[in-house]
Amino acid sequence: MKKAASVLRYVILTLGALIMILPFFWMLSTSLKTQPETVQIPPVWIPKQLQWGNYVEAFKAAPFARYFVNSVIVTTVTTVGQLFTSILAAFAFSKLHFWGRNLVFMIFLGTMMIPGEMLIIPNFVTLSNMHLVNTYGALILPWLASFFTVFTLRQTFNSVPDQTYYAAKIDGASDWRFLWHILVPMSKSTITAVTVLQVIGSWNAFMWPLIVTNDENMRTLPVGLQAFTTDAGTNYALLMAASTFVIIPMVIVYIFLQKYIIAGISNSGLKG
Amino acid sequence: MQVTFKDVTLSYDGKRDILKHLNFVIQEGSLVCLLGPSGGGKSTTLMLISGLLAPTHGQIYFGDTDVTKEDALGRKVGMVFQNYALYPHLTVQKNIEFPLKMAGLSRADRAKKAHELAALVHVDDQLDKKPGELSGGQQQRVAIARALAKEPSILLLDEPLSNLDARLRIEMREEIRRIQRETGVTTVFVTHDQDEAMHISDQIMVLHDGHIQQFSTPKTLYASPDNLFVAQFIGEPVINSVPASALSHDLAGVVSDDILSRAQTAGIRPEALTLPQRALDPLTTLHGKVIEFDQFGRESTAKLDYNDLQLISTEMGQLPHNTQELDFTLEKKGFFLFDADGKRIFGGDDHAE
Amino acid sequence: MLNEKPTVKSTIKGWLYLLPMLVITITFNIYPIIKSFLMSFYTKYDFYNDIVSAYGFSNFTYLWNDPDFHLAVRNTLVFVIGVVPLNIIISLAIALLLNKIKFLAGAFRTIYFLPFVTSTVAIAQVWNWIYHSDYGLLNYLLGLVGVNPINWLNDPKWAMPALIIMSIWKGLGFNIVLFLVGLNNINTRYYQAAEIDGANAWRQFTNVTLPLLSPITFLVTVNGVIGSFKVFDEIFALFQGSSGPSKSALTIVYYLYEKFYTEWKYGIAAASGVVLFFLILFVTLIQLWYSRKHVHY
Repeated sequence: MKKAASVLRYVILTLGALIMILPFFWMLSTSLKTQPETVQIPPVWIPKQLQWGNYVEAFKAAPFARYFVNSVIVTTVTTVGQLFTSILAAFAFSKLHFWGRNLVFMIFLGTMMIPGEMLIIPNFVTLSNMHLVNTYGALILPWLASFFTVFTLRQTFNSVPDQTYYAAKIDGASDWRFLWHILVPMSKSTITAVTVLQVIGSWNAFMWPLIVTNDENMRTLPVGLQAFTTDAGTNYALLMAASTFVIIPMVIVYIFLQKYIIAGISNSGLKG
Repeated sequence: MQVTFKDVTLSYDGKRDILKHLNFVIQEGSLVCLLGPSGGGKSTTLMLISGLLAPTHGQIYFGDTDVTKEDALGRKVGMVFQNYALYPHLTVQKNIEFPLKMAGLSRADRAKKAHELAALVHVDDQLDKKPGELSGGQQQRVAIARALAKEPSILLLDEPLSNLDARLRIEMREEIRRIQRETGVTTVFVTHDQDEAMHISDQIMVLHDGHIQQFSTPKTLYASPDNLFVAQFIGEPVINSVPASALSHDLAGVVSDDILSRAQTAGIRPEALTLPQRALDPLTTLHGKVIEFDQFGRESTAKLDYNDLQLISTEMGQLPHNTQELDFTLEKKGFFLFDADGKRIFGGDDHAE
Repeated sequence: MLNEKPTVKSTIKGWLYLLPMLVITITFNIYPIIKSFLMSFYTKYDFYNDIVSAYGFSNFTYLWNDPDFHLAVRNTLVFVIGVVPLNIIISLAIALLLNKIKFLAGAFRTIYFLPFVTSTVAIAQVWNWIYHSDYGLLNYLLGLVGVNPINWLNDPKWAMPALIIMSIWKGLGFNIVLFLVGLNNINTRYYQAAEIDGANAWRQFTNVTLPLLSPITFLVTVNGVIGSFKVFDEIFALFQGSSGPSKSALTIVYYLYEKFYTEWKYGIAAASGVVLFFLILFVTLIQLWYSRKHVHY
C-alpha cells in the first residue's frame, strides 16, 4: 500500500516534470532542425543531423550581439546600483536613529501597493523631457532603487543583533565601516539572493525597455527577440535558436545559484 | 581605571526613572559584580559605564576625567556581550584583530597581539576557525580576547555566562577571574546569579528598583545585609523570613525592647538554626516540631514548624527518625531583624570589613 | 549612544544614507504616482511641451463608455479567475507530493521552477510554436487522443485558454517553492498528534495541513491575483504584438499600453491605470477581509 502510493507519487511528478520540460526540449529540438523537419508530421523529436548552423544564422540575422551587450550593461548597472542604494537605505532604516525615519518608511511601504504599470506613463514623460529616451539612462535610471529590495535587506539587517553593532562601535568601527565590514558580509546570503533575483528580473524585463527604445541599437535581448519574430516569419528553427540564447544565460545563473534564488523567494515571500 | 558615578540618573522617556541618583566608586584593578534581578538596572548601569548609554543627569568619571559626554570608543572600554557578538564571517584571529585594525595597527602588530591574547584566553589553537565552529565557552573566550585587544581602560561583561551550561559556567567564571588577575584590568561583571557573583567578585553591587541596595564585599553582603531585599537575594537556600512578632516572646530580654518594637521582619539564615549541642554563639532557644527531614550525603535539610511558621535549617546534623518536637538554638550569626522599611536594625556586623 | 535622541547630526547622517535611494524613488516612484493620478484628469494635454490646458473627468467617462475597456476588464477578470485557482491547486498538489519524497526531490523542484527564471518573451515564442495550428506540437499530441486540431492563437474562443495554460505553466514553480516552505514549517508533532487521535491521511490534510498552510495560501493567492491583474508580456509575446484575435486577450495593462504607446492618449491611459489600481486595491481588501476569518496564523 505504502509502496504503491510512493510509486504513484513518482509517476505523477515525472509526468508533471515532463510537461514542464517539454517546451524547453521542443525549443532546443526545433532550433537544431532543418526547415523541412520543423513542419514534418508526425514531428521529429530529435533531428537527424543537428543544425548548429541555425544558431550562427539566427545570430547574424539580427544584431543580437548588440542586444546581448545592451542586456549585460543594463542588467549589471541596474543590479549594482540598486544594491548600493538599497544597502545604504536599509542600514539607515535598520540601525540609525533620525527624525522622519518611520514616516519615510511608512510612506514607502504604502507605495509598494501601487502597480508599477501605472508609473510607466509619467516616467516616460519625465525621461523624454530629460532627452533620455533611447539611451541607457532610460533603461537604467528608474530601476536604480527598489523599495522591495530595501525592505528585504532591512529585514535581514534587523536580524543582526544590536549587540554586534555596539561591539563594532566599541571596537572603533564607524557606521560606514560597520556597514561594509560587518553587516554586509554577515548578510551575504540574502544579498546574493536579492542580487540573483534582480539579475533575472532585469535580464527578462520587457515592457519598459519596449517602451523606451525605438532605436534598434538600444534594444535589450527580449525586445530584440520580439522584433526578430517579425523578420523570422515562419522560420521556426531560427526563432527557436534565438529564443534559446535569450534563455540560456539565466538558466546557467539559475543552475549555479539555485540555492540562493529559492531562499530569496522563500524569505521575501514569507516576510512580505 | 577607577570609575566614579556622581548622582547618575537615567530615564528612558523622561518619565520613568530606570536608575535613581546612583553614587559609587569602583576601585582600580578590582572585579566588581553588578547583581540583581532582571529589570533592576544592572545592565543599564553597565551600559552607562560603557558609554553606549548616556545618563539623563549626573557625571561619570574615569579616574579624574569626566567622561559623561564621551562615547564608548572615547572611553576605551572593552565589552563582552551575553550572545558574544562575535563577527560570524571572520576567523577567530580576525575577530580579535578587529579593534586593532580599526585603530590602524599594522598587520604584523595585529597578528602578534592576537596571538598573545589567544594564548591568554587559551584559544590559540582555534585561530583559523570561524566562531560558528566553536563551543559556547570558546566563543566567550574569543569575545574576552577581542575586548582585551585594545587594552581597555575597563572590561565590561554583560551576563557573559548566561548562555553556557552549568558546568561550563563554573569553569568560565574561574577563567574570567584568572584572566582578570593576570591582566589586572578593572572589570565590571553583570549577572543575576548570586552564586556566580559571590565566587568571583572583589565587591558586589546589588541593584534593585533603580537603587543600589548594597555595595560591599561578598562576605559582608552575606553576613551583614543592609536590608531585607539583599538578605533574601543572597544565600542558598533562601533566608527564612518570618514576621518579627512571632519571635517577640522568645526574643524578649535578648533583644532590646526598642528594637523589638520597631522590628517588622526577622531573617534567619538556614545555618543559624541548630541543635543546642552544636551551637556556637546562641542567642536564644526555640521550641518547635520537625515536619520533614532530608539528607543527601553531607547535606541535610530540616523543615521545622515554629509557631505555625515554616523554617528551614541546614544545621540539624543527624536527627533521630522519630523526632517530633524539639528545642533548637537560634544562633547570633545569621539572625537579623528588619524594620518596616526593610532596613536592618539588628544582627550582622557593621564593622566586618 | 543608544538613548540618544535624534539630533541634527544624526538626522543629517540618516538622510545622507537614504539620499541615493530617495533621489531615485522620488523621481521615478513617488512623483509618478502623484503625476499619474493627476494625468488621469488631464483632458487636454500637450505632451511635447508638458502643458495641460484642461482638467476633468472625461477620461473616466470615456473608459465607462468604451466597449474596448469593458472587454479589457472582463478579459482581465477571466484571466485572473482562470489562472489563480488552478495554479494554486496544481502547485499545492505538486508541493505535497514533493514534500513526501526524498529521492530526486531536488531535481524535480529544479525542473518545476525552471520556467520562472526564463524570459517570458522567449518562452512565449516557444509556446507560440507549440500552439501552431498546423505544425504545433500540442495539436499533434491532442490528435493522438482523437482531438481535432484547435486554432489556438487565431480563434477568439481559444486565445484566452492558450494564454492561461502558458501562464499557469510559467507560474507554477514560484508557488511550489512557497508551499514547500510552508509545509516544511508545519511541525511534525501536529501530524503525530492527529495520528494518535485517529485521523486518516485525508483528515490530516484537511485538519492539519490546510489550516496551518493557510497563511501561505493567502500569500500565494494575493501575489497571484495582483500579478495576474497586471499581465502584459505574455500577451504581447504570444500574440506577436497584438491583443489576440478580435482583441480576445486584451487586458487592462494591454489597453493602457495601446492607449499610451500607439494612440498617444495619455490621459485615458493614465485613467485606466488608476482604475487598475483601485481594482487591485478592492480585490486585495476583499481577500484581507476574507483572510481575517479563515486564515489561521
